[in-house]
Amino acid sequence: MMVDRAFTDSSADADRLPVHLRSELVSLAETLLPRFRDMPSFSEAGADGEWLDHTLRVRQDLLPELARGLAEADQDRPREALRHLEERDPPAFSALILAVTGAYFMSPIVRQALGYPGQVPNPATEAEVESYLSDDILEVVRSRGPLYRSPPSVKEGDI
Amino acid sequence: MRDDVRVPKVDALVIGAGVGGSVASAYLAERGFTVLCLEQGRWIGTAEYPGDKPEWELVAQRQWHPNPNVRAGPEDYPCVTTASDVNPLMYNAVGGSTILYGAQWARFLPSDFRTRSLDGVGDDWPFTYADLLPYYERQDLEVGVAGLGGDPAYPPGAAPPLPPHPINQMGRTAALGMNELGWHWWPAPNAIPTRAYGELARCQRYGTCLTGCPSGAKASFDRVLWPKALRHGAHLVTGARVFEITTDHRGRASGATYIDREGRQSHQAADVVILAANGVGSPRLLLNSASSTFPDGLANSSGLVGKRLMMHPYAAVIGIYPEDLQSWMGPAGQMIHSFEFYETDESRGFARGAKWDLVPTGGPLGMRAGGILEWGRQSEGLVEGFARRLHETVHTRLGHGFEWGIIAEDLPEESNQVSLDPSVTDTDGVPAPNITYKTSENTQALLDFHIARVTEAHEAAGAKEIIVTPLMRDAGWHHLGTARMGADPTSSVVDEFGQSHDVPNLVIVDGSVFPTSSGVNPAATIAATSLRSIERLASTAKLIDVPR
Repeated sequence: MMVDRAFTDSSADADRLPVHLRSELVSLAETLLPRFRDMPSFSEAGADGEWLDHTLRVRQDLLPELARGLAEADQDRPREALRHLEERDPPAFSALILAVTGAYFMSPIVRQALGYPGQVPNPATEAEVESYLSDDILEVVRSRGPLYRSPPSVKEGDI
Repeated sequence: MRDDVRVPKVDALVIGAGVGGSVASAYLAERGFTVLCLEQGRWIGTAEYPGDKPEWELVAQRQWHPNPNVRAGPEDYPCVTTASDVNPLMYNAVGGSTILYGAQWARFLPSDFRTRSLDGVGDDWPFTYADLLPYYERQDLEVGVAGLGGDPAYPPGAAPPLPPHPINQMGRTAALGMNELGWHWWPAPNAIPTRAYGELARCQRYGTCLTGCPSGAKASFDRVLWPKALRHGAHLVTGARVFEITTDHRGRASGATYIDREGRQSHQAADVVILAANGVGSPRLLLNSASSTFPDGLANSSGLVGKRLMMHPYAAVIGIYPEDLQSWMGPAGQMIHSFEFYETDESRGFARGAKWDLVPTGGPLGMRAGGILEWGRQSEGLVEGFARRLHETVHTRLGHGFEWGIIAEDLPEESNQVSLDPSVTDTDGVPAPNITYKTSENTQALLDFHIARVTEAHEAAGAKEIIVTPLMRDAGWHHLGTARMGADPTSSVVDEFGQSHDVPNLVIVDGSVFPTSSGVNPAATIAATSLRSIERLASTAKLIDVPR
């Protein structure tokens, strides 16, 4: 009787990424995300600090694949290491991409550059609702009349 | 408000604390019945939801993913989906899958109850839209539906109790395109209040409804009906995984056996058992309750328990626009909907149709939009072009795109089914559900047609790029039909009030009882049919043959 071992009560181990592997991760991230036009590099965005730590903390499921992939990386040749990882270990490569971009896009510096406030409270004003209740945008729809079908065996009004 | 105290035999044992289970528990407890609900999940606190936290998009893809196979949490059970085109999505908790639902609150249309009479497909329901209308309206008041009355897609009736949400810039952009084409659209109804309502706060438009509402606005049923149920004395036992509905020597339901989080087995006795474990969980439990009296599964003399599974195949078409639409803003939920191509038109070459819903597209990580992991597999080279492709894509898409979702009505087929897997189990040894589901030619033709029309709608609205997901695998929110209602015990599992033909003191109140799926979100209809069934149960309780 096989149990799907992914469904267990035990929490994931709270292991951190070893320091040397974290350092390698940052190096690869900086290679993937240098400064580009008006967008900061990975380190300029501060993504190499608390945001990377936060990413790894909330997505501990990425740690085994990251550790595996980073352990094989040639520290002196980051571009080749990335290509090698993408070819030889796609799951580890995907984990790397997610960790790097996840940390990057949490950076307030990046969000400000993008004009993205994050998912923040933005309650509607009455004027926003009235804008489509008071102009004629709905009249086109109303003027076409009903769309629904009445089942033939049922009298109109008894729908 | 929590009450884990175990009690002796109760009038009504409810299995599952989602929509149907909360409707049953609240209604019966309010009328003096002794009620106990067993729920394998737990209470989820508003502060747990990630939508107001910076890591929202990251955890939405794992811990807060709607697919239990991705979450693999302690309250989840695995679903074997190797033979399914669509993955079932669900959440086990007080409130059930409404913890993660989008709260799109759509009624069936009159024709949805008469697909056989009108279109020669599926089966007619044993009641009509008119029969269900009072229950729709009562539940609208219960959950605090926000919307605009007068939608020409529906017969005249009471307007939703709360004012409509703004349609936001993305809704207006889409609406102008629809007006250009002369196609139906309307501000869409959501079970998300536009002002404080009962236990619910006012919507703050976080746009993170699908990972739970961090402001306590969305009408998840832990907040809507469970407070009332508990005030009236209902008992709720969480962390209780039911694995068998038991029966007495006369074949009457006598209660249920469950496992708690310490691994202890207990039995809860009851005069009536009300099953509300969703269209996957309910047939799973019935099949697992086979006995010498019910060798093919409890309540399964028709052979239809688990069969006729309908999953609402879903296609998504995102349009990317030049202007900034701030399309991360909620509700998510839906801004507007369209029923332009909902009713059957035989000239299209398929039966039935689909509702379109307009939804926001989230933040920069944009996993649903896809593409983020595809960079590097192009001629430019992985590393050299990664930053360029990433930044150009995000700048083009973030805030500039919205999605038309297409909810396709799929037709019931016995070959689509939930069965017990012969080898995979959950952590308590209960056989996992095995999902067999294949989209039909009718569904494929329907989706192809709607994708083409939605593309036209985006183009009419000014989209510069169209991104199509023709069949979203992780979109099986609605699992329906697996214990269908009907008048004939040889071709149905329950009657029109959810009462089992075989076991008169067993009532089912979830989407498994639907004879057909419609092309709209089922939550409103599950809430309405459950209320109708439980009201009937309460009025006839003394007549029910119960265990002696």
